[in-house]
Amino acid sequence: MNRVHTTGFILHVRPYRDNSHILDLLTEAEGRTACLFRGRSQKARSFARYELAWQGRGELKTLSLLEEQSAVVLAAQRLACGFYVNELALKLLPRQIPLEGFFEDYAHTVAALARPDEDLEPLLRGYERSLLHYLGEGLESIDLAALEPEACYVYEAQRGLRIAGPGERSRGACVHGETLRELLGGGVQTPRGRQEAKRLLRGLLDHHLQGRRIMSRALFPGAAGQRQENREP
Amino acid sequence: MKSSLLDELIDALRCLPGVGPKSAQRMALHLLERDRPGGERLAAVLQDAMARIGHCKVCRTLTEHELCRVCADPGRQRDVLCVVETPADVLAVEQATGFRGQYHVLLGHLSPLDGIGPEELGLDRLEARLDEGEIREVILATSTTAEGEVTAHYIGELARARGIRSTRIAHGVPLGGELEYVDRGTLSHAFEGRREY
Repeated sequence: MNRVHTTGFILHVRPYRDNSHILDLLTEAEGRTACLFRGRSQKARSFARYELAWQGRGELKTLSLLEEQSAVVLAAQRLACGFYVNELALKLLPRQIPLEGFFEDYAHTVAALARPDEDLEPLLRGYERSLLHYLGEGLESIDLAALEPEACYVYEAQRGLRIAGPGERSRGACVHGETLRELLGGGVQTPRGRQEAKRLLRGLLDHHLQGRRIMSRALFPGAAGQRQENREP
Repeated sequence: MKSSLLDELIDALRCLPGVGPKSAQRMALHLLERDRPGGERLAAVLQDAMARIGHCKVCRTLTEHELCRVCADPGRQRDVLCVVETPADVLAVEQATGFRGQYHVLLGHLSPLDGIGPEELGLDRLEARLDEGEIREVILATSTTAEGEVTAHYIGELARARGIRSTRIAHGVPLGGELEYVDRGTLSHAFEGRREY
């Protein structure tokens, strides 16, 4: 029987029968996978890095080793962001396909979430970009030198970049060349750029979600009348 | 072959948590062979409880009345609200502490990856309670899982937005526990939450 020994993170824990749990995992060796774990749920926590081993074939394997390697404590808004990060991975990543580099991006994001001085918006935008890259969106192939900073562009999922039409500029569907440069360069600084980057990446993620709702976005309570989109980092 | 009434009883008992086929068979045979009055009482009480026990109109804990014992007690503080996940948590707090305030039972916790957001958890009912203006402090006694923590954070924000003080129950090394056996996450939490001694 195949035995796999690797490291990974728990994305989600679901109770199964009386004393077992099904763990949705993001692992270095096999990407996203699921394992049956017999034991107390306190031993299986999201956002901690584990040494893992399992046996079995097919979709659901039985975990034979679950040893915590390092734990991060996420609290308050950062914990809500952690759920967002996990929910995106769970809903968008294919199963059983190791994505070289994504595991490191995820680990970096979770570790950075735990640092109280880390700016959340650029961190989440970076994670979203990484996910989109592995989902086949070619944001990286945009020729930054050819972008006009104040020109308006539209990036369509699976199709690419084009100049925005006159009607699209007023509907807020477009993104400035400057924002794209910053987003794909070092990081978006201006409030306008941050708003545009968030909208752009969200639109692309929504395309890949195919109508599935990201529930973690509701975890950010805001002031009365404040739009949900503006509450989250 | 048609299953007998005994088989049906054994099968029905298996709906209880932790009861497998062997335990269910033992229970059924015990009632039938050694304790018929006990079995009849169990059947009558079970039927009555299933028909009449619902949720308290105010705090949502289990009760056969419109208001539970705590909500109906005029002697309890009305300005402190303890938010818990389940009716079992109400019993645990009542038995272990001298708490004399009110409760709000969420009947779950926020779990976005299971599709449970604030709307699905019915947090609008808690918001309506906070809006009444009587509550001065909200004690967040949800569990210390990631889901319990995020639930506490969300409710804490709801309280803060209304100028209500919110407090979180302490968590860390268990009483009588030895450090070397405490897991890393708990120990890290305990260090974060250390206080003057």
